[in-house]
Amino acid sequence: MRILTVDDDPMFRDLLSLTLHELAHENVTSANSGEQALEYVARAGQPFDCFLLDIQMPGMSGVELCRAIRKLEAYRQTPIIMITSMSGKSFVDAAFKAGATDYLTKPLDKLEIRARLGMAARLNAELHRNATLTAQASANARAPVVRVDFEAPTNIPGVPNCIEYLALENYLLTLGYGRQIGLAAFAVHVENAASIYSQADPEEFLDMLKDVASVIADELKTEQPMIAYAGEGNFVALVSRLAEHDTKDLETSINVALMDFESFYAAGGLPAPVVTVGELVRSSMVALGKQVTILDKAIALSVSPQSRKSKVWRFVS
Amino acid sequence: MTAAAVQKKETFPPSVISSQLETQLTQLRGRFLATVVERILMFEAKIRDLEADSNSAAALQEISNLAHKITGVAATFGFPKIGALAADVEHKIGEGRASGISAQESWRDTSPILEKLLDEMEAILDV
Repeated sequence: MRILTVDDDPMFRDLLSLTLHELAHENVTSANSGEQALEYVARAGQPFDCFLLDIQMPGMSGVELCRAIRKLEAYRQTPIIMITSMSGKSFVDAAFKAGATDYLTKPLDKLEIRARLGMAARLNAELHRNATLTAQASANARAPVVRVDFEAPTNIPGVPNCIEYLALENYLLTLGYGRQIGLAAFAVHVENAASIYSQADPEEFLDMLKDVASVIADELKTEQPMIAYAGEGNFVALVSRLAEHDTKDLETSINVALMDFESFYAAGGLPAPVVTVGELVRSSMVALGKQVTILDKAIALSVSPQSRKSKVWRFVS
Repeated sequence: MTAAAVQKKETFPPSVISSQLETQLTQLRGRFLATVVERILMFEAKIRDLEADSNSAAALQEISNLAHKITGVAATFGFPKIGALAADVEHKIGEGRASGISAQESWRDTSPILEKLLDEMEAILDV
């Protein structure tokens, strides 16, 4: 993996490089500032596979750098791991909203770095596999081909606060149970996602997901929630625990907003998306220490009995 | 050994690699210890600024930046208490900034922790 580390402290940079060396990561480049990092990125013949960014740096902060990297087409999904001694929720929130994939706190813990880089390597392998398949498919087609796996979480670029599902899971894990208690999750399930998927080409399906994500973000814009697409027509949103949401009202608002797109879908011979919104799930409702299950539980609650039934039919038939 | 040779450590047997890393870590630890006196003096200069109420906000920020650098490496070099106290200093200043209190108020909250940090840093010089 080609790794770019960014930290203004030379001693920490050397220590990090040494630790990565020890973990058998040989291809490591170190930058001393956000500005230098962007120069390295611009000059890189072969793109970097992973970034390790310090948050607190003079000049461009790690969060600003993360945002700048994410704006580059080649780095939309590349793992970005933030490293900092600051674990305040506002820093964690800012990092994930800027597009960070994961988060580590100083001092360095070799086992933790190994685990996080292992995750980054797996994510990279998946990205490379998808890129290869897309390139092969594109070679046989006139237009560039987009690949979307119905079951898999999908990154939806260009929607405010919509982050990767893996990043949302990592965000919860980073917060831990104590700070997670301030959050609630709910899911938005696109009831006819499977039907649209079967009728649309991948690009149209991705556009549909983008429409739904934009409407969710717009309906909740005063909250600035974190949203992610988990696959199988399921979006999850993290909001403040204190937020008063009538999820039935929200469901109506989202569906009404989506009706505005109906004519565009009809022109393409596709049904417009219809959603159900699940109940709010708060941390106390799920088992202590199993942070990620707040998302699973939210998704389970958003799937209507009818959808669940049809899922079972599909499964057993 | 040149830096280039160290970069190609994969060509060496594991025992040699491990010994090289150990040497590099020891060198880094030496560099850290060599900066302790300088950092104590830098902290003290900023404390004087704060006590004179001269450019307090900038002085407090500088203390936070210095503490940040120590937090990142001290524990790895075998000084976990120094690392933890430096993190507390950084955290306390960040907390003050977030709550909107003045630099002088924030300094009053931070000062006892920084004193402990300086005591610990001075103690490792005595060893």
